[in-house]
Amino acid sequence: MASVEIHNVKKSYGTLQALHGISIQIEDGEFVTLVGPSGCGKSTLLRMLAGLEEISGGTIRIADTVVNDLPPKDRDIAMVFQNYALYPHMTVAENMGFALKLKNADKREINVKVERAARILNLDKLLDRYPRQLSGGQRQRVAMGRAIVRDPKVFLFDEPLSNLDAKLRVSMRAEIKGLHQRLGTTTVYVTHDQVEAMTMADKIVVMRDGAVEQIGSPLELYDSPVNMFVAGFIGSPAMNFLTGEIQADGFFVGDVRFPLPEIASELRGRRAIYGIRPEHLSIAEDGIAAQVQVVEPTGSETHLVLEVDRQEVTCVVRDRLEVKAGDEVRLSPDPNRIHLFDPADERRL
Amino acid sequence: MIVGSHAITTETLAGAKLRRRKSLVDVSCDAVLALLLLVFVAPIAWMIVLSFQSDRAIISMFWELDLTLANIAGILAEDQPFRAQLVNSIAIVAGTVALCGTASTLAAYGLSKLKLPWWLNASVGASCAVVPLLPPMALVPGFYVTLIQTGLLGSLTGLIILNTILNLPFATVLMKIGFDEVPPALQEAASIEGAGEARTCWTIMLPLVAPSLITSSLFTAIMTWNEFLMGLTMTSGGTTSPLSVGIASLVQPYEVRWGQLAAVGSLAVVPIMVASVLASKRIIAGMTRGAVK
Repeated sequence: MASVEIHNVKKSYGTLQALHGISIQIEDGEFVTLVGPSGCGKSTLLRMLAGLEEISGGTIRIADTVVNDLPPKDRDIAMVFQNYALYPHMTVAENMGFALKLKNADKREINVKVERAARILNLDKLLDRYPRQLSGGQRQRVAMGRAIVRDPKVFLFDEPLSNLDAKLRVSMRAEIKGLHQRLGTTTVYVTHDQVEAMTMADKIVVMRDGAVEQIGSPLELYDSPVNMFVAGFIGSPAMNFLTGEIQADGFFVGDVRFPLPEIASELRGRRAIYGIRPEHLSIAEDGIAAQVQVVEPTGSETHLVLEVDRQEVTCVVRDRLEVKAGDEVRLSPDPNRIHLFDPADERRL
Repeated sequence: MIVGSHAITTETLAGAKLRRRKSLVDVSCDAVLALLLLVFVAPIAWMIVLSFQSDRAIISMFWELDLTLANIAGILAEDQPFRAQLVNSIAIVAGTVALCGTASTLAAYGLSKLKLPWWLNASVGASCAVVPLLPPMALVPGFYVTLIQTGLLGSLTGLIILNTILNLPFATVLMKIGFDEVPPALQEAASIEGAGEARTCWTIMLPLVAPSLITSSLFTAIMTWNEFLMGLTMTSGGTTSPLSVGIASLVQPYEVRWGQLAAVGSLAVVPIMVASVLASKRIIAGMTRGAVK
C-alpha cells in the first residue's frame, strides 16, 4: 500500500498538449476515480501512472519514490484493462499466477495465492477454464484476480466495467467497492460514467480537456460544483441551467421569477445562470407555471421535461402524477439548493 | 397457437430444403467445375499412372497397361542420385522453414510491437514489397559470387540461406499481420506483471501467433520444395542438388526415361500435394487473418 503524488504532470504529443500540468494527491488506501468525457486525458494519466506512457513533464511519486523513469514492472502496480487483457492461451489459474511465475515464486506458494484470490472472487470452480469459456463478468473477475494475487502497492482500473451489460455493471461495481474495503489497497479508477464515480469513490477527480476541473468527495462535487461543467457532469438527470438576471426579490427568467436565498447585494442586477438539480424541484400549487413536454415514468420516480419561458427544465418527482404532455404544472425550486454561475466564464458566483 | 404455427413453419422450411431441385444453372455449374477439376488433376493422375508403367507401354501407339515397379526401383537404386536428392530436398526444406520461421517471427515482432524509428519500419516494409517482385534470375549472379566467397557454393547451407532470403519477405508480412492482431493490452499487461521484452515475445506473443507461423511455414516449405533455379545454378548437379533439379536431369539429349521421370515427378509432387490439401484451410485462414473482424 502506498500514497501516490501526481505533481504538475504534463503530456504532449508533438505540439499537441494532452495534459496541462495535473496535480493530484492520493492518500494511502484511498479510492480515487478519474472521471470526465471521452478524450479528457483520464486514461492517458492512468497509463502514465502505470508506466505505459512517457511523462513529458512533472513528477509522479508512488510511496515517496519518483517513478517517472521506472519501467512498469518496477513500479509495483497492477492494472485491470478495459478489455481485460487476459492471456487467451492460459487457464484462469495460469493467468492469475503469471506474475508470480515471472518472479520465480515457489509453485506451492503460487497455488496458495491463486486459490486465495479465487476464493475472494468466487472463481474457485473456474481455475482450469480458458478465458474464452468464461462470461464477461467472470473474465472481469479473473482480471481483478490477476491484480489481487500480486498484492501490489496500487491498483489501477481503466474503465473496467464498460464492456459489461447494465445489470452486471451494477453488481460488479459493488464487488469492486467491497474488494477495496476488504483489501484497503490504494486504487485509481478511470471511468466516464459519473454514477460509477459517485458510488465507488472516496475522492473524485473531474477532468476536461487535459485539465482538472475539480477534486473532492462525491457529495462535495454534488453540493458545491465549482463551475457549470462539473455541475452538469455530476448528477443524473443533469442539472438545469436557466439564463436570466439577479434582482432584489429573486432571479428573473424573462418575466418568470425564481426564488433565491439571501445573496450579497453586489450581485443584484447582473446576468447569471441559475442552476437547479431536477430532484430539487417540486410540484407545488403556488409555484412557477410550466408546460409539460415529456413524461418519463421510471417506476420509483417520474422524470418530467418541462418548458418555462422557452427554456427546457427537467424535474424529478417521487409521487405518481396524473399528468400528460401539454398539461400545465407549477414548479417550486428549493431556494437553498440553487447554484448561480457567471455566464462569461461559467464559474460559480 | 404460437407454438403450433412455429412448428408448421419449421416443417415447411425443412420440406422445402428436401424438395429443392437442382436448377439447370446449378447443373451446368457443376459440370463446368467437374471439367476444370479434370483439366487440373488429369496430368498429375496420368503422371502417377505412368510411374507404374514400363517405358515400352508408355511410348506404345496403343493404350496399354503394363504395370511394373521397375521405375520406382530404378530411381531408388543405389547408383542413382535421387535418394540423395530426396534427402537434400528434405534437409533444405527443414532448414529453410526453421531459419525463415525464426527470422520472420523476430522481424515481424519488431515491426509490429516495438516502437522502431519510422525510417527503419518503412525501409523494411518497402524491401518486403520489392524483393518478391525481382526476377530470381536477376539475383543469381550476386548470390553466386557471395556463395563462392563464403565457401558455401554447392552446400546445403548455401541453398537454405538463399531459400530463406527468397521466402523471408512474404513470411515476415504474414507474421506481422498475425502480431498486429494481438491486442496491445496483452503486451502492456505482461510488461506490468514483470515480463521483459524477450519473455513477452516467447510466452505471450508466440503462442498467439502460432496459426500465422504454421501458415507461413507451410508456404515456405512448399515454395522451397519446388524451388528449381537456385538448386540448378548453385550446385554441381548429381547428389549435391535437390530433387527438383534431379527430375530435369532425366530429360537427356539421346533419351527421355519417361517412366523414371514420372516416378521422380510423383515422388516430388505427391508429398507437397498431400500437405497442401491438409493445410489449405490453415493457409487460407492465415492469409485472411485480420481481413474481417
